[in-house]
Amino acid sequence: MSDLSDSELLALFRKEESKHYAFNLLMRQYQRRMYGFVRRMVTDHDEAQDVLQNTFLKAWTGLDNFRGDSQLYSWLYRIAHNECLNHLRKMKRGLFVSNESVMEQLTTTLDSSEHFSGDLIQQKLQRAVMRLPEKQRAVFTMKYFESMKYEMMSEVTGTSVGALKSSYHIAVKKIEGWLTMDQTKSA
Amino acid sequence: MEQQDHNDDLNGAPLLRGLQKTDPFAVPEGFFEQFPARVQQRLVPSPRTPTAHQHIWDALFGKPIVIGALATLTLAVLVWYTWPSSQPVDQPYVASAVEPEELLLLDLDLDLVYRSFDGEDLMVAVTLPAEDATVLTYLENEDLPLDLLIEEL
Repeated sequence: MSDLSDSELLALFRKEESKHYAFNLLMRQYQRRMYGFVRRMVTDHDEAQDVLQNTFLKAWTGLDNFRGDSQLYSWLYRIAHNECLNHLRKMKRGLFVSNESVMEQLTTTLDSSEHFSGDLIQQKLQRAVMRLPEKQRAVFTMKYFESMKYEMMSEVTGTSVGALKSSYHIAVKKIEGWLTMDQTKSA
Repeated sequence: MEQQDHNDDLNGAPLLRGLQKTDPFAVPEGFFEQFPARVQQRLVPSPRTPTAHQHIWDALFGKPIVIGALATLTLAVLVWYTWPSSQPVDQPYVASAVEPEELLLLDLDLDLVYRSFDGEDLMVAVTLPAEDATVLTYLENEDLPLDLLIEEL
């Protein structure tokens, strides 16, 4: 079944008799892409499932007021981005610990996860990504893994294109440095 | 063009540029098929649009702080209204009655009192100052009834 356009989806959603059906289609259309982003942010599958569910629940509530001044996908992505940041902040508050401890926990989850099928270099890359601050991690994930345009990233994050370019550039330098250091140690 | 921009961003990062962008995360079997149903189960019906009356009611009484303030005010009024006062407010102040010593004489035998005032012995026993002596003279010469006599004294 081919994907419906934003306007078609919204038209179906705004009718009471087809609201749930339209929402089902919306989830099926976008869940995989959004799951990929969320999973890279929080690492663990169960956490990613919670964040993704919360994202779509908020989308259900807010979709009636969606004005269509951006693409539906970037609107959904913005919700997912905010939910990821909120989730990571809650982790810090809940643990009353520093960023480093949260990162350690995420790294442990990555290492022990039965749901990680990547090879060693992919594992190292993901571990390096997790070392980035949350917002920078989001920028790097959106640009590097999803090849998202800076203009869309600006809609998602509420940050200027210039700031995003700068953030991505710094993230690339950091990760390249860590991967190079890791390679040197292994050699 | 887009690929060119992307490669430009990775100019100083040969390792990153050379990596395959595969998804390293395994997803549990059937997750995406079941996910929409799981979300639908958590959906709740939309709340009905409140009417104008409900808006006003909610604005006035919907907030706990408003209800608390009203309760406190009601309690304060009740306490003020039922608080017992030390004296009735609508009654004028009445000075406590103190019986003058002279009124005690009403219990006395009046004949005895008359005889006492007529007797010379009493007059001798009591030494009065001059002004009192003047008063006494007046009282002896005046034919006063007992009650006025008491009053004069």
